[in-house]
Amino acid sequence: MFAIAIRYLTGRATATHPSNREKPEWPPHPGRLFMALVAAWGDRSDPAERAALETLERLGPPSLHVPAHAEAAVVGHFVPVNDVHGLRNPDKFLPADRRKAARHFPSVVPEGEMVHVMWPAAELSQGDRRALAGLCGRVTYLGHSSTLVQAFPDDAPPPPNLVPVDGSAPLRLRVIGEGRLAQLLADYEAPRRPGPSPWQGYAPPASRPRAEPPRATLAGDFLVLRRASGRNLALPSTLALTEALRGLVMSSGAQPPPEILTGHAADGAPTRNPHLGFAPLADVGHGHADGHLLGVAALIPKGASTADRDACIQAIARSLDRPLVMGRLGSWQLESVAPGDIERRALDPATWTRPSRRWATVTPIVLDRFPKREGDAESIIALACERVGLPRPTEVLVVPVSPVLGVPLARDFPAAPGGQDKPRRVHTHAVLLFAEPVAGPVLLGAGRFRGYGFCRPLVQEAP
Amino acid sequence: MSEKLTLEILKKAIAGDAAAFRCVAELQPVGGSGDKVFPPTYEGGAYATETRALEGNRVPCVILDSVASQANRIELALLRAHRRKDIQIPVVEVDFAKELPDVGTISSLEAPHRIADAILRDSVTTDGTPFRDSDAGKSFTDASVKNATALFEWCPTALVLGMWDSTGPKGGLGAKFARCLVSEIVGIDVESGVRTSSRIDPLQIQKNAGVLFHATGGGWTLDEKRAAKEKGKPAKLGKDGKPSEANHGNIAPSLEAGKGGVTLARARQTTTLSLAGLRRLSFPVKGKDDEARNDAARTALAALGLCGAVLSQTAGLDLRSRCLLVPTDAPEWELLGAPGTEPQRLTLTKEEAFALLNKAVADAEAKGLSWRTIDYVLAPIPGLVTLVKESRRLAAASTNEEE
Repeated sequence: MFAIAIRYLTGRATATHPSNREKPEWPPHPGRLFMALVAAWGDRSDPAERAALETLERLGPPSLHVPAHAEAAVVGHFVPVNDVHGLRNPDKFLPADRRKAARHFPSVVPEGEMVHVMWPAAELSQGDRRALAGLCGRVTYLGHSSTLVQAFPDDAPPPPNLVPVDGSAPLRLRVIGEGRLAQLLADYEAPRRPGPSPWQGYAPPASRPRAEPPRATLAGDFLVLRRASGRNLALPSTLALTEALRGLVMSSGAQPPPEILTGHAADGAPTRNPHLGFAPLADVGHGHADGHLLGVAALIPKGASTADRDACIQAIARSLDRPLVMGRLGSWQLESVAPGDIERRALDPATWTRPSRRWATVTPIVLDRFPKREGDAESIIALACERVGLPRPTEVLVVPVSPVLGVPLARDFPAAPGGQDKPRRVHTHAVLLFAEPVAGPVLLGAGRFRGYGFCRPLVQEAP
Repeated sequence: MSEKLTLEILKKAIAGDAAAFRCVAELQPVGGSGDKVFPPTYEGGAYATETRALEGNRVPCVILDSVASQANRIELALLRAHRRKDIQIPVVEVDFAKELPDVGTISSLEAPHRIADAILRDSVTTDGTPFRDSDAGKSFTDASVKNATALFEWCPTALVLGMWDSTGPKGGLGAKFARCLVSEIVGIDVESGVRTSSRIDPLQIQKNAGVLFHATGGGWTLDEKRAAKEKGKPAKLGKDGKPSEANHGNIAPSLEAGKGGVTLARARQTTTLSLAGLRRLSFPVKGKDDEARNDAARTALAALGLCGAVLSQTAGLDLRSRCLLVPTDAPEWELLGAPGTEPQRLTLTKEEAFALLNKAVADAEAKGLSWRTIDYVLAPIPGLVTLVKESRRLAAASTNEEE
C-alpha cells in the first residue's frame, strides 16, 4: 500500500480544469500531483528520486479519497498587464492607470483539508518510499501558486471514495502513465507546454458491479461522437460512415498511422491484434424508432497499451476539427460528447454496454465463412463470440429481421467488401442468448471493426 | 498556550520539516456587527461569491480581498515601514518627481510586476544605462530557484510574493518564482444588500424646460445660433438635448439588487506562509552553495513575510470605500508541523516583527548574503514621461466628449 496525503493549507483549491478555462479542477487529478512531484524533483535532479518517480508511473491509476466541495463563482478578475511595449503603444503605464486584462481563477472550497491519493496494492521498496517522502516535502502548491499545500506519504489513509473504472464513468481524471517523466523532461527541454496525460474514468466504489460480467475485445473505451451537422443517414449507411471515419482518423493522427489505428502491420498484412473499431449509434429499440444515425462510437480495445490508447484518443480528437466527407452521402461534422452531457439513449454508452443475457443485432453479422449446411450460420456466429472473448452462447437464432425495433432488414444493408478475388460475404441478423449476463459493447463477425455485427441488449438485466 | 515567535523558533522551523505558518484572524466591520461592507467588484460588477460548508451547513460567502490585492497591501505596508525607518529593505524606484510631481516615485514594491515591471524596464540609471542592462538589472535576469541570490539582494519581496519576469530579455521564459505567502479575506454568511441612487435637484429643473446644444468653445447653450455644428446642424447635448445631459434635474430614486454591498456574520483573514516554498530557494555565492547560508536567507525571507503580514493586519484593514474591518482578537499564528501533530501557537506584535526581521537580516549578512539598504533610484526615459502626459491629455479629452 502506498498513499500520498495532500493537505490544503489556505482553505481554497484554485486549479483550472484542462478542458475549460473557467471550470475548476476537483478532485485534483493524480496526473497534476505527479507533475508537481516532478517539478520538485527538478530542483535537485536526484537519481534515486527519479527512480522512485518511475516506479510511481508503473503503479497504474490510483484510488482517491476526496472531501465534498463547494464551487466558487467564477468571476473575471482584471489583472494589470506588463507587456506594454513602451514607445510603440500609446498606453498607460502608471499603476493606477495600467491597462488590465481579464483572467479567471476557478476554485473550489473543499469541506475538509485532506485529499488522499492511494495505490492499495502497491509494494514499494524502502528506498523508493524515502525518496517519495522527500519529494512530497518539497511540493509547495498544487494548481495555482496561491493553493499552498503540504504533501506527505500517509500509511493509514481513509478508504477510497473514488476508484478507477473501465468503460464509461461519471468522472474522468488525468492519471500518470508509464513514460510520463521522460515525456515531461522532453517537453521541458524543448521547451513546450507539457503534453497531454492519459485519462481514467473514476466512480464511487459502490457503483461497480459486484462480479464483472465478461466483456468482448472492443470493450476498452467507448468514445461517443455525435453528429453535430450533416444530413440524416440511416443504418444501412454504416459502412460508408465508418470507412470514411477510419480514413479521417488515420490521417489525423501521427503519420504514418500506427497499427492500432489501421489494423495493418508495418508490412501491410492485416494485424492479429485488435485495433480501433467503430459502431453506429442509431435511434432504435422503441415504438417510433426509424433507425437514423445519431452518431458513431469509437471503440478502443480493452488491454490496449497506454501509448496506443493515447494515439487513438489524440487522433480522434484531432479528426473532430475536420468534416467527415462520405462521397455522395454528403459530409458530417462530428463532435465529442462529454459523459454528463447525454440526452439521447442511443448516445449513452450504457445503452450498448449494460450487461444482459439476451442480445440482438442492430447491424447484421458478417459470417467469417460461407455457411454450406443447415446450422452452419449458427455455429459460425457462436464461434465468432468466442473469438472476441465472450462465452459461447447457449442459443443462436439466425433471423432475416432483427427484433430490435427500427432496424432495417439484413438484405437492406450493403454487403461488406470481401477483399481482392474473394466473393462477397454473407451477413445476417441474429439473436443471442448467453447463460450469464455479458457486458457490451458487443461486435461480432468479420465486419466488427467497421460497425457490422453490432448488438444491443434485448432486455435490461438487474445490475 | 501561546508563546512569542522568536528568531530561534523561526530558525528551527526553517531547518526542520514544518510546512507553514498560518494565521486565521476573525474580523468585524468597524461599524459593528451587522454593518454593511462593500466587497470588490469583478467583471460585470459582480461580487466573487461562493458557498462554503461550515459545521454541516451551506453558508454563502464572498471574497472581501483577493490574494493578489492582499499581496499588494503587504508590499505597501512594508514600504511604509521602510520609509519610517522601522525596517530596511531593498527598494528600487523610478523618480518621476521632476516632470510629474504628483506621481512622485514608483518603487519595486508598488509596481504591479515588482522589480520586473515595465516601468522599471523603461528607466535608466544615473549614468544613463537602461535598468535591465545595468549591473542590478542584469543580475536577476537569470535568476531561478537554484540561484535566487540576486533577487535576495535587490527585491526579496519578489521571492516571498512571487514574480514573473515576462518582459525582460528572456520574454516568456524569464525568471519565475511562485509565491510563498498567501493571504485572503473572506466574508462569511453574507446577505446581499441593495444599492439606491437618486438626485434631488435644489433648482428643480424640469425635463422639458429647454433644449441644450454644444456651444462652440465648450460648455452648452440654449441659443441655436451660438451652437457648434455637426453635419451642418446644431449639435444637441446627447440625443435630445435634455437638461440631464448637462447633469441638471432630478434623477428618480432607483434600487439595484446585488450591488449594494453585503452584511456578514463575520469576516476571516487567512494568511499562510509556506516554509516548503522557501526551502526550495538556494542562494549560491560565487558559484558555491552553503546550506547554513541558505537557511539564513530563508529565515530572513520568512521574517519579511511575517512582518508584512503583521503590518497589514495591524494597520487596520481599510480595504476600500465602506469596507473597513477590525480584528476581534489579537491574531495568533500556528506553526503547522509534521502531519498529525498539534500546531504550535505563537504571537507576534508589530515591534517584535520589526526586531525579528532586523535580526534575521543581520544574520544573513554575517553569512555573506546582504540586501541593499540604500534606495536605488532610476530616472524614467523621456519617452515614458511623454506617454504619461499624452495619456492624461487623451483621457481628459475623451471625458469631455462624452458630455
